Amino acid sequence: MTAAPNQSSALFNEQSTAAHRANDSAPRTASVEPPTKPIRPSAYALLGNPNTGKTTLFNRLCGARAKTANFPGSTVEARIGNCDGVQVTDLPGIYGLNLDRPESRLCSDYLAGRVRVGRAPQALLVVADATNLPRNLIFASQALQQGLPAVIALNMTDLAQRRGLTIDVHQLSEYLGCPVVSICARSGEGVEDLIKAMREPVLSTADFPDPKGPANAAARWANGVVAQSVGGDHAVGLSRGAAAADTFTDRLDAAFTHPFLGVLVFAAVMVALFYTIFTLATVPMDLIDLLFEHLSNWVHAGFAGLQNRFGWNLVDGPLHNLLIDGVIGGIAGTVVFLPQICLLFFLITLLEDTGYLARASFVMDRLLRRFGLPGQAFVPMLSAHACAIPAIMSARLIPDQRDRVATIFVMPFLSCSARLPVYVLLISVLFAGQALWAGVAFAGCYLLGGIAALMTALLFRRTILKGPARPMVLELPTYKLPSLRTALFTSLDRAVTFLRKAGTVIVGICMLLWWLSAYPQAPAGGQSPSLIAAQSIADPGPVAGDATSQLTHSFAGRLGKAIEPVFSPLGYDWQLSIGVLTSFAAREVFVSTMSVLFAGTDDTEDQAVLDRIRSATRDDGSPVFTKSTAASLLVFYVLAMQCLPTLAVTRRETGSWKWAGLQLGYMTLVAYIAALLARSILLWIGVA
Amino acid sequence: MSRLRDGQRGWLHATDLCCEDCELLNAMGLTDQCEIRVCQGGEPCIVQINATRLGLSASLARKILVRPVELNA
Repeated sequence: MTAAPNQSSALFNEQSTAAHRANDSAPRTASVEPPTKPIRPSAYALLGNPNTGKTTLFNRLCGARAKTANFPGSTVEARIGNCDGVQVTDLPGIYGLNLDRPESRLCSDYLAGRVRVGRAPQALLVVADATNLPRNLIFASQALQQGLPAVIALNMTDLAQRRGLTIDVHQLSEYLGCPVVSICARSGEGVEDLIKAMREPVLSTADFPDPKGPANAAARWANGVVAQSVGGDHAVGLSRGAAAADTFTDRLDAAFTHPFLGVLVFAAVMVALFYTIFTLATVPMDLIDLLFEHLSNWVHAGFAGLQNRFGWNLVDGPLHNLLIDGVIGGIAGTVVFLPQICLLFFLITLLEDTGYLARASFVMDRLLRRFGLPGQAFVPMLSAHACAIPAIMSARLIPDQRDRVATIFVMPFLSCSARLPVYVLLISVLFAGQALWAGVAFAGCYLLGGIAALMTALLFRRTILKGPARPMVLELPTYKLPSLRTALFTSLDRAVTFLRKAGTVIVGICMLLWWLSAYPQAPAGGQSPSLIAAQSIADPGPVAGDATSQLTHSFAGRLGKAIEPVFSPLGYDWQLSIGVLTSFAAREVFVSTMSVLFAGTDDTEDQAVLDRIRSATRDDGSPVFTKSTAASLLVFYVLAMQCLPTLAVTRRETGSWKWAGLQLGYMTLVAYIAALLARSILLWIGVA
Repeated sequence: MSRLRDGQRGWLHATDLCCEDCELLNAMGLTDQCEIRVCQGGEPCIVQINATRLGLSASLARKILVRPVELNA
């Protein structure tokens, strides 16, 4: 149903969109100045309160071809899409345009033309929740005073009807001075009418309360409009601001937000979430691995074919190795994260859409507040046990900037799946044949990471991220069935963003590390030395026996020897130092580097190779992996950053290298001191 | 407001909140004379203002003064 302001005073008969357009030529109320020659706007700004179904509507209007853009100099995002030949910019959900909050300021600046994201808006599409009209009308009144023609999309009208509310959109349109279209973004009902209405937005000159004036005046105005526009059983209560009891929501909340039962429900939901991610992501991750392996083989075959045909020495040449090991290896190392990222965001969006995620944050707030973190940090922290990258990206759910930075900062302390191969190797050295102690050590690694994360959060929130802890103010949205379409588009959008921005940095740095490990090449005698070294960084595969000589001859190897004195207090010789250095790009590389150094192969799943690593000796004949050294290494890898992709994502999400650099420096320092302490204590109690 | 029992209602009387919190809560629907229903007390608590359900720290709830509806009626 579409309604536009007209002069038919008290009679507000329902009219079709066509009829509404026909009425444009009719005389209007004095407060509304119809455009003499309607100009179709080329850019709309889509705005509204949080939880009004704004993103669902945006996806309905623009489909999957939208792109995400950051506001200049900030991490606040807007999505830009195209609907019916018109650019639509989906702004962050805000409660008011004049609030002292980053999102509100950016939206206000965007509407005033002070900041640009895409084209400047020529009209507004304001989304209002029909079930919560008074609050949404106050926001709409602020938006309509921005000096831009507008259309109001009255969303969730189906839900309002089920709650016994009948909204007269024509009456509403009269009060607001612009077209009001009744829609249900989830089902798509009314969206066609909305698109038609968007061709002729109206600049409202209605008499609104001063947006900077007292809130009570705005509330009185909104309640007055509701009293005139809303009918039905609950309309009277709505217009006088009564808080109607909602038995269904009350019962669900009693379970989901209960101090004990709520935590149990949350734990069950999270276990199911991560079980699904781990189970479902394995297949596409293996396929991606296989795809890039084939791609490497094709490129290699291409080079071999050219070499055979023209006699050029291409195979194992610099261009061949750069393409296969640097570029393809680097891209493979990045793209392999995609299934986890897509699945995580898909499932989190579904949970958020149901209204449950806000309840989970509410429950965890009790625990995390003690460490200076908000309840919303818990979902990213759990995700970090799969991979820190999607976890850091999902910290966008946290509204407060200090809370968000603190959460991002501590995320890499939590043991991700990439640490598992390192844990397996070092725990098997420490507790060979002692399954129980090995299990305790595994649990201890996760516990140590968790404690380090919470203590770091506490430390930082009391020092460099110091500030008054924001008391929790969290809207608990209505429970509803999630939209698969919205979840799909959100995960797709996150995947593209990850590939476009983080991917470029990650691939570049992986290529640099490949080069450091592959050059200069060892003297003749080895097979494909650069390939051997590079594979230890990018992608495990078959390697020849000359790997050790290449790795020690490379820049990375020389650096390993140069930094040996730094790591010798921890018990690491030059070989372990190389392992620490090459695994700077990704922790799991440590295992393949050890295999290359001590067994001449990177087949880390062969028991004989693991035995050779365990029994490896130093230059003086003493064992490389003593108990104290293995424990020191284990502690180091639990706490050290050692993941370039995570650093790149931290930089992107915080908007500066400052936090990424601090994260690297702090975690490395903590890891070094803790590893030194672990070794010293073991030596002190007589465990060599 | 923190003294209201679960399910009890009150009219907003006054607040002792900092400017930032006050503006945010105003924008979320907490305005003069609005009716507040306590859905779940404690720390944090859940309250309902019109159709908006909010999770609030007890520290905030203590700074929101309400007149219980029963006494007012």
